[in-house]
Amino acid sequence: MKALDKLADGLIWLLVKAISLVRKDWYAKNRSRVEEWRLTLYALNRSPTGVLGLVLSLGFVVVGVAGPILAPYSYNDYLYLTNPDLYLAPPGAYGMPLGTDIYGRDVLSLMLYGARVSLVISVVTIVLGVPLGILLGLVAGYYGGKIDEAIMRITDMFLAFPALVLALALAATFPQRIREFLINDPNFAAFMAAVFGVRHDDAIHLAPLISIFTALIIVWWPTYARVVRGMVLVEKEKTYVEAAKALGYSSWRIMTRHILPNIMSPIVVLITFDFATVNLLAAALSFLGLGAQPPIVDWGSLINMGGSRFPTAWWLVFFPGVAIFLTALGWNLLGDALRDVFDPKFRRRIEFRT
Amino acid sequence: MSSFRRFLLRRLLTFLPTIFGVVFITYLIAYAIPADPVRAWAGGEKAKPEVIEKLRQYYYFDRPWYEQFYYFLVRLFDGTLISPRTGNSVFADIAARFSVTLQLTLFSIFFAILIGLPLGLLAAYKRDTKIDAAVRIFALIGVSMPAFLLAYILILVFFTQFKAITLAGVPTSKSVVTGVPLIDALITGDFELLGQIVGRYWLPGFVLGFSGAGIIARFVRNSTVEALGSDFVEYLHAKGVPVNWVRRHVFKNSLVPIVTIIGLEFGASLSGAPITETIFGLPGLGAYAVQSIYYLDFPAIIGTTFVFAVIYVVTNFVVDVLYAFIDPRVRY
Repeated sequence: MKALDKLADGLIWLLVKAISLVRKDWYAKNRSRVEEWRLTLYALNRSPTGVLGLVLSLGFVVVGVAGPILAPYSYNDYLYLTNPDLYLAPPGAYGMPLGTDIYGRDVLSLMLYGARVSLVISVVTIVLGVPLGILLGLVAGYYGGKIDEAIMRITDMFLAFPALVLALALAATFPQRIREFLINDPNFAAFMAAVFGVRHDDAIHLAPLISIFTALIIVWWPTYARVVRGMVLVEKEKTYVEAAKALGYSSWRIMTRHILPNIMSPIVVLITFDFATVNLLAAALSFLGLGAQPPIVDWGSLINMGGSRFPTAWWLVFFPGVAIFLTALGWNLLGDALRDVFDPKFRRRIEFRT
Repeated sequence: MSSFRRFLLRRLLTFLPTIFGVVFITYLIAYAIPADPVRAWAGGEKAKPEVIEKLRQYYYFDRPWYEQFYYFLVRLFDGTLISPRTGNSVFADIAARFSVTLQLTLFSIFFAILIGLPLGLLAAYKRDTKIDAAVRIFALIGVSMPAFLLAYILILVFFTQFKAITLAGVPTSKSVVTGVPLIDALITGDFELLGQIVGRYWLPGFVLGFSGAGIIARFVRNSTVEALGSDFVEYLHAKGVPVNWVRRHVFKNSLVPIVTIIGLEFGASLSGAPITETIFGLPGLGAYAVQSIYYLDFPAIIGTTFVFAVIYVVTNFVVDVLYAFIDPRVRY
């Protein structure tokens, strides 16, 4: 625990140094804020499951970023063309640690490529879907009246579908349009190929994956709109909002600079949990055959490939399945710990101890 | 009671625009999102021109969007939405598969409560001990477990190893009363059929209910802990009431959120149905939705998405009403 606290100190010191490079007097002004960050990390260090969650989810991010670079083989190295024994080789055989798939490709490499796909889908869904929901929730809660009614009725329509069913229908109908888009706009195609870590020629096969995160964004924002609206309704009655209004601040400034920071900690917890949920849902869509199309793979499509050859090719189900499980578990453990850390009662106990 | 009736009426009134919105979103998915909807409906690149022309007329693709939407509504509600894959009316297909999904959902709720409720109570009474922490981690494992991983591991154990389950066909009732074999078997006292149904559905039900068990355990724990902290518990103890009796009071008071979460789990298991049914070869609504997506069978996609949404909305509505009904303190 001592070592972890030292590590936290080091990280924060690095962060402060980095910010000071850009803005000279930042630390002097924000000393209390930095102290707050330090205590948050200390509190997280006191929760063993939280640390495990942090390790698992950071591990997922690192593997997701570095995966395609680390992979010993490419996703289009069909090894059985040179060695026919490599068709569905079990783990450990012929120097393939996790075996090979039906095209004789190294499963370890495919998993590393799949990690990038999972990371990109979850990050894009959260980065685009969550702010949209937060913005609509802020506007609905703050202005109230007809605007609120209109936004919330639309939100209700989207929440009326079970998440997977709506995502399924959307992800099934989008690819055609997105494929057109990829053909007509080579820059977009090149960008997407770089993001997903695949060769430029294969960009056209990314249409289903792009459809998955588009579908997930559409499924994701309504939850945040509803949650944020509820919290804004409580916050906007408080005196600090009244004070800000009296000072003549604009509504936009009050919403983003005053209300939003006050409701941010539950949102951060929710986002952490949602990294797990997005990963599971994306894997489910992909398992049902809507994900990566050959030659590109992701964890869900590997399980799909192995499922029809189960239990013979158990490694195609087991390894990606465990990878999905550990990723989701990591984010869930982290979210669970963060909820405690942000809870003032629990936090106070830690502060007295350190 | 009159205010309860007013609440029902108001809740029903917000129910209608939601259903209308659901239909509109379904319309967008079917007509507006595909780049070339008529060709997509006719089966993609290989579609014959005369088929495309026929579909264009039958579903009014050549009209402006509001007319399309009007005829879409008409087709949806008069039951003439025909699936090109099976050749039946989509709603007849759905009706034929509904009982499978219903039984699967019932089994999943059964397992979720059977595991979740005792674990939650245990965690609440052993608060802040190792047992509490273990239940918490179990719940987190439950929500993190991808259904397909659990399903394949259990198939390996019970199908491949012990040959204890079957993965093909579903038992049907000999004498049809309600159309749902499980209920028929219970009504007619047909224990052979009941045994077959349990044998076929218990494992998929368990897989589908596993994550729900964790969620229910967490909710039961939190709501029991909250009830344990109320003043009436202290009063009962002071009065010298036996511990078991106090626990009964606590349980009653913690019931409201528990009933809500069980209702919501019912809706959530609809979301899990497509995967579980696909893996276990159950011919239910979820598997039908997945099949219709494989073959881009648009009328079936529309029908199933719509039916799923309606069931989901109705479940949430019932939960809301139940909530207000159980707890008279709820303001409506």
